[in-house]
Amino acid sequence: MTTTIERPLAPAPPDAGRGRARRRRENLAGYAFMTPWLLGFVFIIGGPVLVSLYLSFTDYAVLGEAEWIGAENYVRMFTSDPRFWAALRVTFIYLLVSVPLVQVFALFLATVLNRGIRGLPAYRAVFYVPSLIGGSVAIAILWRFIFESDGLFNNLLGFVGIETSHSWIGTPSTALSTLIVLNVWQFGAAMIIYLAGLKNVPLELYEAAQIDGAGAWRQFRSITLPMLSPVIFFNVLMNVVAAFQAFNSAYVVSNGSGGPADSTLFYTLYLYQRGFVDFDMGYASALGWVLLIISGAVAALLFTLSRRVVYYGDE
Amino acid sequence: MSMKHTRTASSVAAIAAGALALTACGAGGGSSAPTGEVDGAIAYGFWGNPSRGEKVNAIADLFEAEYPDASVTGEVADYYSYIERLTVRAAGGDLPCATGTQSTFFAQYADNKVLRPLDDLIESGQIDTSNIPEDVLAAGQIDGTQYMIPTGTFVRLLAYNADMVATAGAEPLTEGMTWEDYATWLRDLQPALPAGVYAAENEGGLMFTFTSWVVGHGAEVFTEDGELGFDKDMLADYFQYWLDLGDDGVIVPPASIPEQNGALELTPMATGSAVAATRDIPHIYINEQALAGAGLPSNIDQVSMPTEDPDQSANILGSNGISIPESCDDIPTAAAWTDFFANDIDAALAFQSDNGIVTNTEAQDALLEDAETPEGVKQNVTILRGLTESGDLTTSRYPAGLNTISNELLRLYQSAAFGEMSVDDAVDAFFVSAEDALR
Repeated sequence: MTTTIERPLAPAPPDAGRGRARRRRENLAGYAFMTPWLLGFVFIIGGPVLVSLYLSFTDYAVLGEAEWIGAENYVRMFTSDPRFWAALRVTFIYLLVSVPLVQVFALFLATVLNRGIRGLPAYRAVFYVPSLIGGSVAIAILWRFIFESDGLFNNLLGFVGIETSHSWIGTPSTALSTLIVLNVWQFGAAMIIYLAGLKNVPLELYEAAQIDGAGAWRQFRSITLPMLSPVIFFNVLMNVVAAFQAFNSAYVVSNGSGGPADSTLFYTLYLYQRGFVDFDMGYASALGWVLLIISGAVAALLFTLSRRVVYYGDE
Repeated sequence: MSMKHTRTASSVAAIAAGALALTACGAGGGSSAPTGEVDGAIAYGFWGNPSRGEKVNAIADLFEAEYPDASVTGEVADYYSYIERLTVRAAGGDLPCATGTQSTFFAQYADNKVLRPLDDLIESGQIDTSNIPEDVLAAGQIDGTQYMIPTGTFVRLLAYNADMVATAGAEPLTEGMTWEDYATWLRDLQPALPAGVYAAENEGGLMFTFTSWVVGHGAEVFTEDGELGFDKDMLADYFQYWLDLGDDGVIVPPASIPEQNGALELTPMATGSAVAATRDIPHIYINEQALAGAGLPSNIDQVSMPTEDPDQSANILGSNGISIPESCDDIPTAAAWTDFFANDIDAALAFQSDNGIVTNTEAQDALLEDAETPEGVKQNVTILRGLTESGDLTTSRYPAGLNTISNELLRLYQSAAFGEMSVDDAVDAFFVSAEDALR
């Protein structure tokens, strides 16, 4: 004899139907609010991005028709375009020098400002202002005037007895440095984030460390850095992405040429030249996709490293 | 495999290429259906500044008084933005019915059948070119077909600060020089100049100067077939000429080239730190004004570009003008506007040769006679008149890809000047890039 055990049905809440209807209405409202963004994403971003993927396999001069050439743009880029490699080199130098310097400056000043000094809001504002205006064309033009042969920087050097007419932006060996300085000057945004992170480090940790006899450096190394590591990771990631996208400063300072002698040829500037000066839009599209892959790979590398060095507190 | 695109798809595609890192876009305008009458609303796109925009508006008012049923809306952008938008808009079939063009870049649009041949409109009398000199008109032609009506012209000459030369006790430049004569003059002048002042600007990377060099040596920069018309030795000699002058300390050092290629008022010649340089005629007066404004010696004279053949002028003429795109659907109004802009005397007086010296000879006369014409404009007209009357002018072909080639010339000259490349390597690299741009 077999017995059939019937699984009892879960009792339905008396207002389940009404709840589902309400959720559906809420979902519909949510989608309605999202629709403008979704349409914008699909047609203004998603669509063109997909078209650019197609174009990267074509010879397309904007005027006229796109001709399918397979992977020729990519092959040319890696095998017979010295300016592609020059642009990569300049971009990575800029990234590898300026991103760490921004973190060091920002963290140092955030640590100083976190000591409860008087007039903190004023200092915070003063240091933050360059982040707001530093990426503008106006500041890039100002940078030209500061670092050209008879610019402000050489005049300042003259005041301390160093007479020079060196054109810092006109000489290949120093031109990129001026752009790195411009980027480092914009450390304020990172500093504000570090300051917020420092405020969240429990004071008890420092008190316990002091009782154990830890000095300021030891406290910084063993408490501040680990506790701030998620914030450091965030700032580094954001700055790396921004470094890959750097354009304005090099465009203005070099008159759009990336010169002198390609010394300020950021990757995006080269992409712009190929697309909107040479009108080799197929090649420019290929450059764009290679940039996406490179920046994606670097971001993936950072995330992989973060598993080892970033401390999230609950681990 | 060849893929065809609709114009709409091309427009989207043009924007798409920059979507990963950059964006660019253009706005559209409209025009009425063709009727044969001048009664439509068209747009006139041009490059310039708000001041030029006001002058164009004044001409539009005069035009609308002449043709009450027609109207013209100006669309202005700065030069580089204008070029970018022009290409994107051309891809979308969205160019304004009257499109501002230049002899240096209209070829790529004509080659791609974006621009309409204007010969039928000239033959029918809708556009009158009878008062535009033949050699000026030729700057708007490709293989004898007129694609641009030149409305303003510029000629590159060798300018020098006559006051500074006199103060240095040197002889002024003379007509009929060779390039070696010019180099000797610079080397003789340099020791008599104050510290920090150079005998000349550094023009080893300038396409216009190189064009004069090539033409003056009896060759052509671009052949009829759209290929380079000079050999590697000629370019190597040109690079070496300027590098030698640089080694002798008589031209602005290469590190100052970015300053030299910036705003005209801030160039070494306009700030008194260089005595000589090539300048378009309209720029000579601007230089004088900049020098005078700074309280510096400001009298600038000019001579013809050096040439190795006394019978071959190396004064290269270029023109700004108006073209009509194939996509325009109100040809009569576009033609009437082009004709009005190029020929109407009141329009010429209102525009004051703001974008090149007016090409119409009757309008030139009117400008010279009118008491309200600024002195600088009269000076420019007089210089151009002298050149056209003596026939000391020549034109050059400007194929598609010229912009890329110009940029490469500057980049590779700088690489050689900074010792990052040998002259031979720079020349080889230039030929690779130029041939790629011309293909």
